[in-house]
Amino acid sequence: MVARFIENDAVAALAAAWARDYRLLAPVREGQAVIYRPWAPDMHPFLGRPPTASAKQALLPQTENLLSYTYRKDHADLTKTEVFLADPLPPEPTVVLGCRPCDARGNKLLDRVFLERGVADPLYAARRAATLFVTVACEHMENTCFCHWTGGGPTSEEGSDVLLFAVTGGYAARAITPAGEKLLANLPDTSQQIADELAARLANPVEPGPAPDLRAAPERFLALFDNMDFWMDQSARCLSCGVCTYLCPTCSCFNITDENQGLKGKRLRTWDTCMSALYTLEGSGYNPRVSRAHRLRNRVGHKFCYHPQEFPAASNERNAQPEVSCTGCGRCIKSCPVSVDIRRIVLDLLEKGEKK
Amino acid sequence: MAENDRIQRLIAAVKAELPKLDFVLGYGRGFDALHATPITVRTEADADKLIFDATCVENLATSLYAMRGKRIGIVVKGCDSRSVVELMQEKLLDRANLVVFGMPCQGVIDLAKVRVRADIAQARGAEFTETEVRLLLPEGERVLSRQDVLADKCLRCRYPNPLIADHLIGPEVEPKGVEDTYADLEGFEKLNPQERFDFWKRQMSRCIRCYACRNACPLCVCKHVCLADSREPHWLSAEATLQEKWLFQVMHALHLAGRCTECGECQRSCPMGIPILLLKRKMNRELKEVFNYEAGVDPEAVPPLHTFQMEEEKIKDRGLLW
Amino acid sequence: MSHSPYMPQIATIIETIDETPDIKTFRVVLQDPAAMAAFRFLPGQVAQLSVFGTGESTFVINSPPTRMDFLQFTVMRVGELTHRLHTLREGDPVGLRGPLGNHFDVDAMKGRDIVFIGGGVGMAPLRTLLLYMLDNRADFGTITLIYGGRTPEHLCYKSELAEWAARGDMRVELTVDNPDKNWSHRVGVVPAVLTDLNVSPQNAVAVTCGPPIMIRFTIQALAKLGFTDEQIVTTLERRMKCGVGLCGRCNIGGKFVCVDGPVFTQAQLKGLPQEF
Repeated sequence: MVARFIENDAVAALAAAWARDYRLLAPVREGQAVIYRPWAPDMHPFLGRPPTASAKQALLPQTENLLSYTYRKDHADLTKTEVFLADPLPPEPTVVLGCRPCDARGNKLLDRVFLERGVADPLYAARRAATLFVTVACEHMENTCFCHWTGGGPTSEEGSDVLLFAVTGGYAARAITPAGEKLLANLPDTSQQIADELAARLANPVEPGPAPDLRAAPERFLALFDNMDFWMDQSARCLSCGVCTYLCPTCSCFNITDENQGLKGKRLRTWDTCMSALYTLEGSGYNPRVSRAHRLRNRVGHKFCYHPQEFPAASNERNAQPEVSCTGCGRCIKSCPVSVDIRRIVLDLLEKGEKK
Repeated sequence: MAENDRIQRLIAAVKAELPKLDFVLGYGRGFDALHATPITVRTEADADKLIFDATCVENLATSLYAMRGKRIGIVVKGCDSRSVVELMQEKLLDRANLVVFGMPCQGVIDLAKVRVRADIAQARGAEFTETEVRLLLPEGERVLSRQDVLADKCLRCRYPNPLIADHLIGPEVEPKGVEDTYADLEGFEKLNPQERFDFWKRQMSRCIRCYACRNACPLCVCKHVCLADSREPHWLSAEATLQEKWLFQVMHALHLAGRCTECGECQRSCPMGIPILLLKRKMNRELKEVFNYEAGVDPEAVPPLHTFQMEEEKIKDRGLLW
Repeated sequence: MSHSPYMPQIATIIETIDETPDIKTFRVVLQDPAAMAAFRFLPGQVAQLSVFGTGESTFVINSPPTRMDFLQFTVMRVGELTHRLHTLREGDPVGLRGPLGNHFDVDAMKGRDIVFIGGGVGMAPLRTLLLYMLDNRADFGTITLIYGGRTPEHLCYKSELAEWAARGDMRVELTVDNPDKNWSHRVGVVPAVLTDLNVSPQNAVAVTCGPPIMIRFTIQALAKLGFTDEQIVTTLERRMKCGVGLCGRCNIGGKFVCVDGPVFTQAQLKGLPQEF
């Protein structure tokens, strides 16, 4: 396939062109973080590092309106009230620039939850259909990266519309989907020299370290389910904050709350985190996941046991390795204030959950 | 090597106490040479995994409140020991159930400062000497000045030696700072109110409300029973607006006035790199000026805002107003 | 936008009934008559009730599908939403999303003897199934109801309890922990009554709902009487938000109480990670 060429200096102009037709989310450096911001003319997109948060915010914003309501009092009889409901506004067509292959692959896992598992979520479906992902292929793997455990890789195309490769002087851009092709329509083809450079790079991919066999992970997780000492030791350092789940490209749990203002208001969907005690706290005061050990167990279990058990057929595409609800982006490790390492937990599971 | 000898003495002390304890909270090696991670030591084999060096940034006292009722040991640096002292001052800790392993500390590294000097995402190794941080990177060795990458709190540290310890694993360290001049606040305080607000609006806009700042705070013992999550009263909306994010930080700072020991875990834990310690430093400076008080230094001292009485003897006499 | 699973229908409260000091029953009808006529569900299914501005919570529809003049919900006052619900009166609008979740396997129960064992507000899902069975009486064998509460005052559906006892085609055993001077029924905990009655497991199904501690001892008592795990049916409660298996929180292992439940047999529960 022919790749198009984007000069380093032309990235901002291209982004500006896209921003005329789309809501454009592009990463910028802010302090220590790399943050997706809506396009602004003075913006300098930064593609050199994976953004701090995953791109899921484009499909599942931190907060969004599920509905709005208005009460109307009957002026003749104030004991009578009527209530009127309205749907939220439809999403804008969006381009996400600068996510990584692990982020784009996360979209497929979000689809499992919001489109394929049971009831389809029309808000998510509308955003998904309206959003394009221009992904930057990775040149190396960081210490926290483990995409190869989960069937991905530094140049994985899954979930992307365009894949950018850093080459001398700019980026070689490959369209993965017809919509991606359209985004690149006005760009020149790469020179032969760049094409050769890209070919050479693809011929010599990054060699990740060995990946564990995850086929036994669900069974060994369940074998260790009731071993609270194991989970206590894994979680004693955990702060029970939301960093891991909020930055994760596949964590999709949400809360629903009403925000009232006088006689009207809205019902919001907000990111929630299974690491919080409030997530399962019942009105009666009973909490089935009362400690950090219970909660960390649920997060690991969901990703490496419950998800693969729910989608067993998906593993056929991955050399019989289970599809886990994790793309190995490593954000939960990199940004964890106390360096909880989900890889370590999974390896411990595989080792200690083995039947003696 | 002296440092290695010190770790061996720590391990020996921990092993000696283990039979009397449920476990000891200490530092183990994290996912690479630049990261430590808290570990629970239950067995002698666990104890052999203990480390102590400039990567041991976490304040383990953060876990103490959640572990009340257990007999545990804890490894503390000088700064961390102030959290232990403050928890004792606030009667949030049963000292009798706690064994403190005190580690005099030459300062810990601020990875944020390392990152602006070197790409450590693929670091293969690291070594710390008294003056240098030697990074082993894919492209080769990179040497940084230790002073350049020490955490800010270490540059002004007056308590490198734990203020409270059952086992002090010396030698003790000469303090670097004499009096905290709050020099870092000066630049900020020169700004006018609008400029300050613009600064915070910019910073807070990237907050994701993960509450790592709150949960990493050793003194934020409310955790999930917090105004940020309360529905009754409904202080904060679930909507991720600047106003909600900012209100939480202001409340957090106010609730820590006279309690915060400036361990800096709130700021270090922020995945978005928001400089929230600045707010607590500002509060502490006020407390110092008004009450000449410093939190977490004297186990017997009563924090100024703990002297509040529901029934004051009489209201302030303001004289005749008409 | 296609129909959102989060969008409630508007219903009107037509009647409220005080059951106990902290439990109220609400009878509602959907404001759209066509929607009310088209509303179909099976015993055991739940719905989300909304008070807009406060939120939404899950309650079992405790009127049977055989009596569709209204949909009935019984609400114990425990949290933010239930406090608010208790302040509503006849004529007030509420949101309703449903039916949600699975249901009792009524076909499998046909021709069998049914033992209902309920405690407190846990009578609500049993009521739906009981009334459904009474309205299809010939399809089922003997019906026994064992229902208990802390005090006589804490029993729900008091007038109906008397009606059911008077019917002659079912047995009603009531028990309380703390009787008052007018109490003429049993005293003691529900599982003890079960043991005392020596209920036969032969061709029987036991359906139980109540506080977790009661369910635990009831299941032990049923097992002692010879009930197999397949013969014991219960309902689970969890904090729920979306009600359609998306928001995540009500999972037990890979199952979601809001879609795979709330009705489970003891055999199904034993196959799940023990986290409830």
